[in-house]
Amino acid sequence: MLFTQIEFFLLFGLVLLACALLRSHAALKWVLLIASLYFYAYWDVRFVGLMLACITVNYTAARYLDHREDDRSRKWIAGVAIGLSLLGLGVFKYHGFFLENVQAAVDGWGMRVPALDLVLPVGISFFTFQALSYTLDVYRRDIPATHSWRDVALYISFFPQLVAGPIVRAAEFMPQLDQRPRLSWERAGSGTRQFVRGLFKKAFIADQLAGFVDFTFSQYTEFSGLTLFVALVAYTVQIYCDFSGYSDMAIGTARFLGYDFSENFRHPYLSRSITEFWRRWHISLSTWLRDYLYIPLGGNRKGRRRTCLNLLLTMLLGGLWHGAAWTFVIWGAWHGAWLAGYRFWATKCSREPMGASASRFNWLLTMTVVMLGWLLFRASSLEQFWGMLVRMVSAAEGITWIPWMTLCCIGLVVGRHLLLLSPRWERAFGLEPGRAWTAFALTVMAGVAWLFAPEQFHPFIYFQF
Amino acid sequence: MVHLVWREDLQKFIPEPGSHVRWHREGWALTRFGADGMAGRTEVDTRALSVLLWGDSFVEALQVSDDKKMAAVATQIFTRNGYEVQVLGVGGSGQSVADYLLAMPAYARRFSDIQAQVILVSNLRDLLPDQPTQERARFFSQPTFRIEPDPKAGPGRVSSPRNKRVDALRLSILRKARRKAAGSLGNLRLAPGPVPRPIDEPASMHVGDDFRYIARRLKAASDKPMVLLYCPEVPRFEQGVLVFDDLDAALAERCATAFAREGIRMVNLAEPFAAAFREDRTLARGFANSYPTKGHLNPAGHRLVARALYDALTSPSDALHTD
Repeated sequence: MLFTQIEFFLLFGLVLLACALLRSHAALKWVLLIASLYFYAYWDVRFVGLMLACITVNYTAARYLDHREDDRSRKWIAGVAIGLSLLGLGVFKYHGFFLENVQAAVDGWGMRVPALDLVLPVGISFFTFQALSYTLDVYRRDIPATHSWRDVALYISFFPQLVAGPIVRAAEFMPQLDQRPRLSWERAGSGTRQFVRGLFKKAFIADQLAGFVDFTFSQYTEFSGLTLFVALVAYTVQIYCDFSGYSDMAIGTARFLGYDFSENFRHPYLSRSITEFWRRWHISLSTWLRDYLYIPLGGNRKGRRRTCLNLLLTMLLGGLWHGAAWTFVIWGAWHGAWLAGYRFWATKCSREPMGASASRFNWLLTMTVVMLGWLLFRASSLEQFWGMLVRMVSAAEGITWIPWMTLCCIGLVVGRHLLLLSPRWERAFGLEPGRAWTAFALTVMAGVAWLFAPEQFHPFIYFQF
Repeated sequence: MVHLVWREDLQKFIPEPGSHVRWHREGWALTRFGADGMAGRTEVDTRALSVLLWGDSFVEALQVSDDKKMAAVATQIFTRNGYEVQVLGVGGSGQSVADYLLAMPAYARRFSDIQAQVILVSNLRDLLPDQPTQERARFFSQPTFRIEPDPKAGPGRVSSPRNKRVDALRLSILRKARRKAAGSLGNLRLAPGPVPRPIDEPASMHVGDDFRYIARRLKAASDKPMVLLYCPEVPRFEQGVLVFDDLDAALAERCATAFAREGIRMVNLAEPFAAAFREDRTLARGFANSYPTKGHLNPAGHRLVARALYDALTSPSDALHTD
């Protein structure tokens, strides 16, 4: 089920009604859990069992972890839970990638590796990471294991963040389940504001750009270098609006229902270094990787070389988390290498504030790195990545096709970012609560998103991860 | 929105004379409709030498401005070359060859000096029986080939006072909102997934005598020289690259043979379209706000069709005799 579907609004209305009418907190949590399972089953009822299995494994492991004191058995229990959770992820998400590479390796001997025809369950990477977060938080004694299977199930499957994040941490969400969520006009207003912002970003901007991006990327050999460059810029805007739009809708929905999620994006395209970019982009994933992978690997505590290696390894796995293809692995390595390089460079540089021109240069360099990364991320193969890059750099001839609507959408996002750079303009046009302008702008944004969204179906990009 | 009104003498619905349409979904253009409901032609001399250009939305061409529509461009080419002849685009969105066929006698009465009838098709299936059509006439194959008005079919764009009021107040956005809401509610699904995929049933295709039948009927409907202009989707994208062959090339071959037997020449624009791209990357289809190679003809496509029409009608076999 998508946040832009009428069925979602019906479900949300019913859940809201239950929140307002039910007196029992336990009953309310059951309603939220059933709604969440329905939300997932709406896509494919067959995979609800997989999610429930993942929930049960991690709930049981956490219960055992809570009762054990010796490190050895605690490690074993956590290891088994993590292994089983990752097994599900591995089988469904990476089997094709694995078999493809095995096939490539044994091709020379004339051997055929049998192919498996498995559907990738929507949001499997997200709910697996959330489940792991619960087990690891209990293992590290950050939170106690809960006795309620329902609460663990609700934490992992809570419908606003179920299929495309943000990856909510157990330590952040589980305590919220101990108290009855409070509905208020203030929360409703704030939630609606964020939801509409997300809806506009996703349904209007990202979906408008999707048609242009999909068409040019899939036929890149026929388009001019200029068109391909605009397509890359459009994809840079599309992926931001698509994913941050979904996050905004998720956060807004949860806030409306009385739950708080942390922000997942903080205007990442204003970053002036790749490190800053990862502090602003998909924050829930980067902090997850930092806390559960980078720091356990040693973080920056074991010398400069080891820090660089840890960064590289963390980002490689981060890349693989995004998709089962070499382009994603290389994308992760690309970011890891730049993060390591930046860290190395930053230790050598003085900590004096940057001048305006240095700041602009750093922004340009960061955006170049990010956009080249997006080219890798979007390309279906390394051959396509290289082909597009060569065509862009050599200003290759071909069909020049730049729809004005694409330019408008890019312009809107650029304009929004420029507003953020000017406090005066931001005060005048920002969507602050309690202003007539805000109500007007949100109404227009919701209307435009609903009426002028493209007819073609464009699922959220991150649904595939 | 185009509002249609019934014209007794032409025996068909035509766009309301004097109305206009601003089109921005594909291309960006203003189209005005004249006394005879012809797109882009506000004044028509019914006694002048005329070439009637029949077609669907490709001839109506709401996507391009009036002076760039193929009929207007063809008229300019004729004038430049010394022919005092007007090309009149009798096109309407959703119409089929069956509609043109039934309307031809009425137009022959209205326009006293018709020199030739040109039929433009963008999809050869429009010449085959049992195809879905939005307009009034249909080509049936059962029990025998026949062309007749279909009581169930009819134009969906007939003006209602309410629609006119909405348009006059420039509130057509309300109609869009209503359509969108109705569409969302109509597609409401509450059952869990997965959603079974519909199986594509192949459309009924009778390729054989049907081309000859419709060619015979067209020939019987008018004694003027007749030309069939075929605008295939060439070039087109296939698996990421541009290809220059027509998917319906075999069908086009059979159609050309069948029509030639009845004395109707078919002009296939596959080669001119491909040549235009090879020469200076001109694509016949697609606009800045739609996909390249897809959809309706753009101004360049209209120019190519107009040129082909002129060449066809001035070639030795079909030469116009205007003196």
